[in-house]
Amino acid sequence: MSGDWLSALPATSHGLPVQRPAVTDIAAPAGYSEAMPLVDPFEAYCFQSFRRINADGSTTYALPTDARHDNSNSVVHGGLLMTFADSALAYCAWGGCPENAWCVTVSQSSSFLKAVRPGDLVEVTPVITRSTRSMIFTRGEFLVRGEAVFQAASIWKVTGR
Amino acid sequence: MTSHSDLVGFAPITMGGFNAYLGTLLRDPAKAAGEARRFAFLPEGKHLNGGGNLHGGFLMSIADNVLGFTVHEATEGKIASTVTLNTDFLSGGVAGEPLWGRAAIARKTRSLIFIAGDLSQGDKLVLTATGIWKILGA
Repeated sequence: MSGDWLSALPATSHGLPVQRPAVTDIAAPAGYSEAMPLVDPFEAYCFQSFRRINADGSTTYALPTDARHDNSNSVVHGGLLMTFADSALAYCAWGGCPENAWCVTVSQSSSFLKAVRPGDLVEVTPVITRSTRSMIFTRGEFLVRGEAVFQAASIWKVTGR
Repeated sequence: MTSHSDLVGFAPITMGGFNAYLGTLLRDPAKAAGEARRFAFLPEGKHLNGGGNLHGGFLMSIADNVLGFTVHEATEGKIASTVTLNTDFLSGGVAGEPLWGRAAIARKTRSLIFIAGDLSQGDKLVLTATGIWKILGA
């Protein structure tokens, strides 16, 4: 039931090889046609996320959750949400990175507003709050069915490749 | 410096779901009074980012577990959940070398636990964390 998203993944993204996803038995969520070309082995091991470009030019990222993400009490593990946040906010920060530069997470603050249940679709439209020569500040509010469940703010250090 | 041999005596913490998927978190059963319990994890290639360092999400997941486990040792069986976790990434971590964790409770109230901890490899701090846990039903 992976549909067409798996075969549509490019070989490289941001100059890095796209990882073969471990999670392939899911369908693209409604409204999301593009699977994220994940370049980090840990992300591709944990989940498959999707994105759509909105009419205002912003990008929304979506994370389908399932039983693999259960922290053994029918709640999605906080580590998975923090990993998805690191991923979505990274793609957002990379958009503010100069050409031939890279950015790494220096700090992330994460708040857990409401339990996320396996099966919930988590969506975020991250924003760059401020961008300087050497640092990028990003934040995102994560929604399930339009309700805020999690929020994250990150600081990125811009480095040479 | 620490090495694999320092893992002798550490015991796996049995956890299901996403924690089992992450890998095995180890704990030092021995704990001197007033000292933080030591935790360890052996990271592999699947825990890396595209730059070849340990992924920030992996490190935050392990920090959540190290701080969370320390919280649960202090709640007399009551379940607590993470309200907030602040993490700073001090240096890049590598696969194949033990990642050490420890945490200490800064303050405990009827319903909240304030805690700080860190993850390290060798003599290098990889991540520092502070967090607040809520004791459910309190």
